[in-house]
Amino acid sequence: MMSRSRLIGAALLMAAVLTAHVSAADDLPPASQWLPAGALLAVEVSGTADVLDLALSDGMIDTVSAMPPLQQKKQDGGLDQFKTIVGYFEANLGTDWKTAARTLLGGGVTLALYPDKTVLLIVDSKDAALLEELREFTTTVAKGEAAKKGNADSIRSGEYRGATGWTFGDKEAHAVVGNRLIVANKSDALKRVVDLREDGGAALADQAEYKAAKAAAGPKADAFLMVNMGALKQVPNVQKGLDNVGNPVGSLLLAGVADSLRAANLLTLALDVDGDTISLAAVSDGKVDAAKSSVAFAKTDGGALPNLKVPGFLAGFSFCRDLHSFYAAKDDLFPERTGGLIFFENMMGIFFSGRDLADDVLSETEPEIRVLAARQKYDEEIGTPKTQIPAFAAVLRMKNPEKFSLVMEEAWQKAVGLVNFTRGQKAEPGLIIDRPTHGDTQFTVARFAAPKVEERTDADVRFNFNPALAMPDGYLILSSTEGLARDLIDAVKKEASETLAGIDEVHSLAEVDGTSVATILLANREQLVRNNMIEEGNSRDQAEMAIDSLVAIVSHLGRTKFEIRNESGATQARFVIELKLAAK
Amino acid sequence: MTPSSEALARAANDPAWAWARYEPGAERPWDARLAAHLLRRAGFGPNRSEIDQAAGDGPQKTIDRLLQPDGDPAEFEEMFAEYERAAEGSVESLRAWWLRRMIQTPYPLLEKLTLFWHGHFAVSQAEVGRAPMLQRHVQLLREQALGDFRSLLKAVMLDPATLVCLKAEKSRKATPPTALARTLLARFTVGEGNFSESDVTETARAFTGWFVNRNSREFYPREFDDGEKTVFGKKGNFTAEEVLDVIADQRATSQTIVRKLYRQFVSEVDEPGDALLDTLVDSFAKTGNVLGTIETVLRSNLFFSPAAYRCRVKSPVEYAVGLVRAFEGRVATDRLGRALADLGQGLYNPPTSAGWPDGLAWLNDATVVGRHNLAWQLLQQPGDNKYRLDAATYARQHGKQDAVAARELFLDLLLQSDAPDAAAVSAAGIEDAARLVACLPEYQPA
Amino acid sequence: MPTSRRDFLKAAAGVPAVLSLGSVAPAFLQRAAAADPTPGADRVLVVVELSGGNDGLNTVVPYDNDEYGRNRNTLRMTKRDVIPIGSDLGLHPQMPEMKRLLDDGRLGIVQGVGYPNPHGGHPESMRVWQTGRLDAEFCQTGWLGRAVDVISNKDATDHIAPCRGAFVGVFPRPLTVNAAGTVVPSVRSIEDWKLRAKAAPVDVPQDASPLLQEVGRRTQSAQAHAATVDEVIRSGERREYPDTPLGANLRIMAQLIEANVGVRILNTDAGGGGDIGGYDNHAGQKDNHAALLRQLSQGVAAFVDDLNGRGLLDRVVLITTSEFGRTIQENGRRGTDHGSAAPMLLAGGRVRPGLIGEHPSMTETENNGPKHHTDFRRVYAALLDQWLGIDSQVVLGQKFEPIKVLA
Repeated sequence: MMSRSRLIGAALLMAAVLTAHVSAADDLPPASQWLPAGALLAVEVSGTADVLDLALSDGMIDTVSAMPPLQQKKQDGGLDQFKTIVGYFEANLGTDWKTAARTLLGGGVTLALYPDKTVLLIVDSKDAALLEELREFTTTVAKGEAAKKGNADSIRSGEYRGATGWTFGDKEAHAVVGNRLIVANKSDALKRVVDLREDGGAALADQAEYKAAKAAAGPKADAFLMVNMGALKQVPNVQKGLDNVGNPVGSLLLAGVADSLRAANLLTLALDVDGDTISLAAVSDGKVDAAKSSVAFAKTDGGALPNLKVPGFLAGFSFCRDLHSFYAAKDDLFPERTGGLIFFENMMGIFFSGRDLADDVLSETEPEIRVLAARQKYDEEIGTPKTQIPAFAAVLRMKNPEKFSLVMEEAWQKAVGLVNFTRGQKAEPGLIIDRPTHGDTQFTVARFAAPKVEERTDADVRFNFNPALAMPDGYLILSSTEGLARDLIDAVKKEASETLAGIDEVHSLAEVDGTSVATILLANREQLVRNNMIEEGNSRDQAEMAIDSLVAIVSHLGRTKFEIRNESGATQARFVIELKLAAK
Repeated sequence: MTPSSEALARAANDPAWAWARYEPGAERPWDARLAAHLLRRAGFGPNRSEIDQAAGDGPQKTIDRLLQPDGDPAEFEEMFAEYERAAEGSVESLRAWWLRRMIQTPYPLLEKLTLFWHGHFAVSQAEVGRAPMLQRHVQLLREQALGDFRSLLKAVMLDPATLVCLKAEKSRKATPPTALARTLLARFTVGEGNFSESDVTETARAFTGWFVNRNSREFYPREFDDGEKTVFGKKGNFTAEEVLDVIADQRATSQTIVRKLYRQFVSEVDEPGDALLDTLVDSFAKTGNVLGTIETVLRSNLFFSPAAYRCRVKSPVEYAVGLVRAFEGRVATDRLGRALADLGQGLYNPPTSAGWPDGLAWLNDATVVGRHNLAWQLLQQPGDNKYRLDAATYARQHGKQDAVAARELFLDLLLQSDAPDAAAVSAAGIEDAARLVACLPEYQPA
Repeated sequence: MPTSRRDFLKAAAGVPAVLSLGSVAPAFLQRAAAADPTPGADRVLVVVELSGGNDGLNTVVPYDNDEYGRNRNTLRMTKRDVIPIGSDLGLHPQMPEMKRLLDDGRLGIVQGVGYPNPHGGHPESMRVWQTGRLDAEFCQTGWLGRAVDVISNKDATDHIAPCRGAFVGVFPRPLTVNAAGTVVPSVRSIEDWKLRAKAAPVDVPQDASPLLQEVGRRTQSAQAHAATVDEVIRSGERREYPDTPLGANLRIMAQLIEANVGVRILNTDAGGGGDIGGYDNHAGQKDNHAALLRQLSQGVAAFVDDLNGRGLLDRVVLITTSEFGRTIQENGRRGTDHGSAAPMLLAGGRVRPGLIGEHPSMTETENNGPKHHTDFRRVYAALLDQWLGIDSQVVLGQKFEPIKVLA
């Protein structure tokens, strides 16, 4: 049997989770008018119905209950405990928990955090009576608990300007006004809400950031989060954290996101739930001085190209970047010289026969860069390696294909030669170059000699790689496998036959197919379990649980998309998850 | 005279007594202290129930079980061998798996001896680099750790990892591997001062013809110097294996190994005289039996006397693995492996062919602070999620609710009654007490 | 000047909360105090490795030399580019701080350093410099590691066990500090030297075994030294160091030196560590090399100024090493390849200032770089014998005529 204190906790949690649409609340002004202005952070959930529809849907509940940790709990009886609490709760409130949740939260939830660490929460119920029942129920439980321990209960109540406030201790105070529950982490804060209601004054609804955030989120949003960056940046650790963001690769990929946050006064996150699709949009008002930021290398005229479609697609990243000017500015952007950078430059010097990397090589590429990963099918001649690594490739477009393709071919073959030389020094097998044809495209591939027949079931990791270079129709494809190169030749030929259209103003786009990623994870389950054992110190059972949970979560993510756009200096990010819930 | 040197003097006067089977008696009763002593030396430190069981079973039965564990460890050994083979390419993972073996093994003596031979032959990542080769090397040590020394020596000396480590990848007739021969004689067998320069060059000639190609060894007869060699006065057209027989036949070789086993199992404090070791050396020279020699030591009066008791300093591996075993917790061994390298004992990477420096060399300003800080990381509350030794829960599970009782529990678990009233710990709460016990000077000797 | 032992006493007495002196303390402290009568026993040698092979010709530039001018196209520096230091030589323009140190008499430049029949590959040549031996392949310990062993062996007879040497930095510890008999730690952060939680006072009974008493002494010493380092950390703001890995590592070293906890030998890598050092500029050398030398110059100057401001500079000599210099001729990739001789830089309060030895000949070459005229082991020998006060023959395996590098 679960302890009383946990029971109270659970009941309170439900009370908090369960509050948000409007019934008798119609006569109360919006919660944001009862909360004081000056919030650092505010969350407003207005579309609780949409959120709860998804959260309480059969698909979601089946999916969550099928997760390995819950299955485990089911076996060891942990779930029964929880069910007992829910049952107790339902019996006392005279309604099932899903209905209770919809009713209690139905009018909306608003939360605000202030610089003095005050937290205020307003929950609007659709049913004042049910709310009052819940309050009484928790009070009774708390009293019973105290009595059982032989303590006087610490429940106090008091009147303040016509409102009754209760507290279970000094860490919490709450009041119910009609169908509205107000919870504060300090009793003074609760009084401030009452004062604001009685006397009027600057409310959250009047705060400029709140208004801007609400506007930015738009009327369709089910919920939004406002972060008052201007005030938050006064906190030294936040400032320091923002200053520390950024390494060469990171700033190229995220192109100005950190800069934008540094410059921002307001960050808005808007949530929209539509069926099984969750969209999260982030908008920062931080304008970035293009001349001083890596955002300068993110080009939005034309925009990033859509990801290429290939069989077994796992993940794709599409960028629009001016690599040439990025690399040319490296001295200013990244003053440090690491061994890795020097090694890279030395190698590029060899591969490109002394050409200047920025001026003679990177300047030959168009700004659309795509990287993608796909599941690979292993040749029967080769067998399946014990660790399966997806195929991955980069796809660029060349400005002067006739001239540059020869430079590229030479560089690539030198790189293969160098790999062979280095592997040879370590007495490891090398790659053999071939020039096969796919359709009308001749391309170059380097393969390891097939393993001995007896090794094919447990082939070496190297058989995950047979790197290829293909340059059809002005495209440059660098792939880790021949199979993906062939698929990409088909994909770019198809793209070239259509009108090339970038996604307006989007400079970065990432798409991940969770279901496919889950299959790759599953294929490498044993290796992942073992790594988990030594990296986390887990027992084999614990490690299997951790990996299986990861696989389960990823497999339900369906297709996930993340894009960053830059509109006249302001940065916007959008994150869309299409959940794949348990089939009915 | 200290108790340990007194006991050693008695042993030197009466070697027969020293190596005679210890029988518990009034002078030296069998108790938790001696049980824990035995389990520390023959393994990586006990937990509560292992001490209790050993204390109840008495020395002989406990030693029987240490020499040959109940049940078949083969399943465990095969599973971990497979884990290690699959951890190809990374010495860090090999290290992590080995530490996990030490923590979980049903056959601690085998792991202890594997580590002992690793320190003896001292093949290192720094010189060899290739993880698969190192994995096979340590697996070879494990397979032969408790068997016949001569066969172990032969296997090790022609193991690719040893050849690479000692710069003998290409032993041509014209360039015999003298560095290998010198290390073999000075470090692995007869020892410094017990061979001549010509023994080195002649031994090297016997190793010609051996090459390491593509990570495995090969013998090219055309590069083998098949002429006559003279090693330790013996003449013959020795091959590598034959010359190893000649070297293994030297009494000095048996003396080196026995002395080193003595240092490992009995004491780092006082050097024993040759006379005391003669009995062991005689039988080792005759049989080459490693397990038998260890059995004699473990069952002896000397082993249970003050001449051995807490007369070694725990190596970093013994220190940390001992703590993890005592509290029956789980730790991320890849991180632990790195921490132990910082304390001076990087597994698969001893500093030189002489192995790790031991004894007090483990302790200087930096490593003592390192041990304190590692104990803190392992035992801090709330715990690091990679290191889960939960002393407070451990105390509760053993029915100790308050700090006084918990302190007693920890002192008893880690030190038996060797620091009964450690003032250092007396004021600590449950959370701190375990860490402070692990930092006591008394906890450092094994 | 305070000796490290006396400072330790002060530290031990000054931290009663952390360390209550147990029953073993009096004898121990007496002995520790007596163990350090030698003048210079608190001297420190700092070795900064410029891994990758530093281009000596663009560090100390013979700008007027015809061979230099003819062979370098994009990398050539003229009289107008360099910072002149006399003898028709100039420092790389990114090293103004080094020029200041030179003018202040705190920098010495040993020219034309190398070794006979130099290796052309990184691992081989690095191993020679790191072991201090030409038969480096068979040598498993570093020259600094052996020096630490020598000092620690003496400590053992004195019943003290400070940590005498350390590698500072996040990279894997190089062979340079590998020792056969001593644990030489890697210090990634000065916090590594601190106790993460309050230590218990050491209280080993007087009738305990000698081993236990010794462990007690070492525990006590370690706790006291950790407290001293902690005081240094908490003593407040330090002089600014450049925000680079080298700057951070030099700052850690300065803190350890200030704490005076017995560390005599410190080693770090300014080339980024690993198999490929950052100084290995085969392609596009100009900007990369300039950035590296700027970091070196700023870092070393900050270190020298910091120590000088605390009156500690006379206790410290810092030197740079690098596996080789580079070719006189620029390659087709606007870089240079592996050469031979290069200058070594020495900084500190007691170094012999200015140019030491002639600039190496530009016509007599080895590995297509200037031929060395001074064996680097002569510099090592001088530092071992005359600065650290330990027998260089024991460390280097043979006797070398020391170069006069100390004032």
